[in-house]
Amino acid sequence: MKINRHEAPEFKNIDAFELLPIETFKLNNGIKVHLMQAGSQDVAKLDFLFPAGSVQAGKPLLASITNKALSEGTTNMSGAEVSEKIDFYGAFIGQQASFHHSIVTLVSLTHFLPQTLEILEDIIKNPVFEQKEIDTLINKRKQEYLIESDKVKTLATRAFTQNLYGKEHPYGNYVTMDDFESLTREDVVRFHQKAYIPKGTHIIISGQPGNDIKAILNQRFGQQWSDESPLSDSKPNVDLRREKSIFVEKADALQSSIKIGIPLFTKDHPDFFGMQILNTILGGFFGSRLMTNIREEKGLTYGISSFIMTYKYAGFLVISSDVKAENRDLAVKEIFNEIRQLREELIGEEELELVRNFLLGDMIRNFDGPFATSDNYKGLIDLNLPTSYFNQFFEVLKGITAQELQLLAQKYFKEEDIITVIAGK
Amino acid sequence: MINIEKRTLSNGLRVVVHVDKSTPLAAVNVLYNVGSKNEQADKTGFAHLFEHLMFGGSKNIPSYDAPLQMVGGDNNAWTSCDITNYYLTLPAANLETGFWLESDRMLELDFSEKSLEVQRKVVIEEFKQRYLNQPYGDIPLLISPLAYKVHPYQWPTIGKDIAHIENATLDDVKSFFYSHYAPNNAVLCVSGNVVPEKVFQLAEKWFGAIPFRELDSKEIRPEPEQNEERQLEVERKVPADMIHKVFHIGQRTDDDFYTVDLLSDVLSNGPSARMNQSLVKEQQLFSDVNAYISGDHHPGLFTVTGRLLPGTTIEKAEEAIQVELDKISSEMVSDYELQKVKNKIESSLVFSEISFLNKAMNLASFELLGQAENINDEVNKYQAVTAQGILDCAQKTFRPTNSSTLYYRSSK
Repeated sequence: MKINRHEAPEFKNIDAFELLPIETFKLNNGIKVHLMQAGSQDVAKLDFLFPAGSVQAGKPLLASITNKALSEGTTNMSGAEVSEKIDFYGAFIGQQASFHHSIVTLVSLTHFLPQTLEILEDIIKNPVFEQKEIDTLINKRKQEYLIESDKVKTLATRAFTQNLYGKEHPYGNYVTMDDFESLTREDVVRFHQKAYIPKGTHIIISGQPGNDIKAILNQRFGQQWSDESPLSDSKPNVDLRREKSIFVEKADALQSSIKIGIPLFTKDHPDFFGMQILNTILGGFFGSRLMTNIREEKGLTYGISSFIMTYKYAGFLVISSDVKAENRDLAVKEIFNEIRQLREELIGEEELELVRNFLLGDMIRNFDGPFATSDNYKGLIDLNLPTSYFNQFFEVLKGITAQELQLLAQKYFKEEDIITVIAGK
Repeated sequence: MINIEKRTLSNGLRVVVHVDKSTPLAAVNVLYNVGSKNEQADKTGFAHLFEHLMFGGSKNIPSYDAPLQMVGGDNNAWTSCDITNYYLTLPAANLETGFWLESDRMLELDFSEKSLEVQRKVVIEEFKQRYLNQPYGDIPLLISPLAYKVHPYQWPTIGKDIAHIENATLDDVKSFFYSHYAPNNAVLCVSGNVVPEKVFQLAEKWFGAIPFRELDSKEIRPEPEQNEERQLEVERKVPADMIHKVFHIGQRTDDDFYTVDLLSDVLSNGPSARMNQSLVKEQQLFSDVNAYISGDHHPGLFTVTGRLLPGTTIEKAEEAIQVELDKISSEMVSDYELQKVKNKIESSLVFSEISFLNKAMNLASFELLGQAENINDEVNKYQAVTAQGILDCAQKTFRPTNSSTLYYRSSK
């Protein structure tokens, strides 16, 4: 067989984006359930999103310690018994506090769901929060905090978010050693009562939960177990005076961690999709300009990337890299050069087509199957966005031009808005 | 049951296909049977450096990444002490692009001085970022040479010394390529929304003409049995002490692999496991404990490790670990406890079958070690493990003269 290795085989453009159907319904008490039923394995994942994030908690560590302590013992079972049963069913419980929610995740074989959801009900409704368990969690958390504080990457990230959102708002990620001492069991008990409630709670189900899932959920979580309303949210102060340049010294560091970024907006902003595409060109994938210049041409770093982070009330774009101290200034200079080029020069047609095609493929990957779909869908809940949001992104991606991208770069990548943080040497 | 179809091309390339119609995508996974254990003692870190070079363009295609991204694909790779594994995913309709790219770099790399120079620097930064500039990051660099004195598992995949990477020459690169990268030393696995006959045709078209190559036949000397207790103590600027203990065990293809794996699960898989309950929850000595096995192709290691809470001395910590190891070496696990770890394994096997890419990687690995079909026997092999087997295994493994212990002390 004669083949031409110099020429790429023909390929098809991705011209359709199909989202798995998402069914929504309410439990008897109003809890909203979002169901993505698909997949060839008899397993299901259930994410419970409670209005119990660190913004509602209003006190550092309170949301995460409360969330972690749920599974450490109930009025019916000790913490050891909870773990024992969950492990016996081959299930997994994940607990994660974020800014506006605390999430409890159950991953379970379908045929054990009646048993595993019964355990989940118990830990969510009847935790006892023993002092000893809370102390253990706080100590563990303190150690993790100290280990993290040894990493230049973490030091740079904290300085960056504190600069953007201040030390008062949870978005700033500001925690002191005193916070570990001042958290009490009473705080935890009270926060649990106020925040692990039916109102404002969502359940996202993916996989094959079986046909009677609605009935099981109503049995376990459908009663009005509390008539509290969600605690109020607070917005970060956007009028902060921000530093343009911050240096966090760590004398014994072998590398410096760089964070260069700009404040941005939330996902429902009309320019969000375009900025997402511009970010990809700059540093959002392996073939990005930053990666090509700073890693593949100059070998200054193992990795460099940029990404957009959005929360309910704010967002930012940040470029992140670890480099050896001697290369720091050159890397910073090159990052600014790449940003300037986006403002000053039109993106070439070939590059734009490549990024477009890569992102189209990425969309297919990000929504491949129920579990991937639910991970992305979760991001819509805070802003109450419809699923057509994803189709809109697909359409913008198909049609965006180099001119539009340049305008966005000029509008948002203003030299005077760029914040540079360095941690290390 | 995972469906499997296989062919072997005349040049020795093994081709494995798994059809999963639930995805619009396909995965192409190429596994090369070369890892850091195939390196020379004075040229370590080479297999991994080579993985980086595989993205620097091949004989007929100047860039590997761009043409793949152009058709909506994405890719990555990893290197272990045994294998180097390259994988990509793309829309199934564009499968042929994956064949074109992977076959050209198996045929011949574009050996360029420039690419070598840049990737040397990149890998050195990776070395620093992951191993030197990270709290506890140098543990692999300390523990491997303590446990292995002869076998090349004594150096980690990143290499034992930055100088080895700095000194790599283009001649080294070429000879490494021709003695390890060959159709007869690789497994190609394709999974996803594909038609097996079509995959075999593409394999023949793109890989069929790549010549069979003579492989490096250097024998790897086995590690002799350890006969003395080994210890190493270091001090680092970290917030908490750590203890890291390793014991020699068998290899992935040994019959008792499943027994040793469940032995480690009884100790630390899941929050209810013995060490988590006893050492973290009840006695509150550690913030974190872990027990796991390496699953290496040659005889590997059973690791028991833990990070201490303030107030626990390393000696006390080691003693508490020893109590758990003594207990499992003297009393049989109950039927209930054995059933629990088997249930956990069974569900994690089900979870691992969700991702078509994961299946491609696993199938390639099983094919290399024997035959891809063995993947469907895993559950039964775990189910067959007995309490007596676990007891025997624990007694054989947890002997002081089979152990190497690292005290990683905080100087703060």
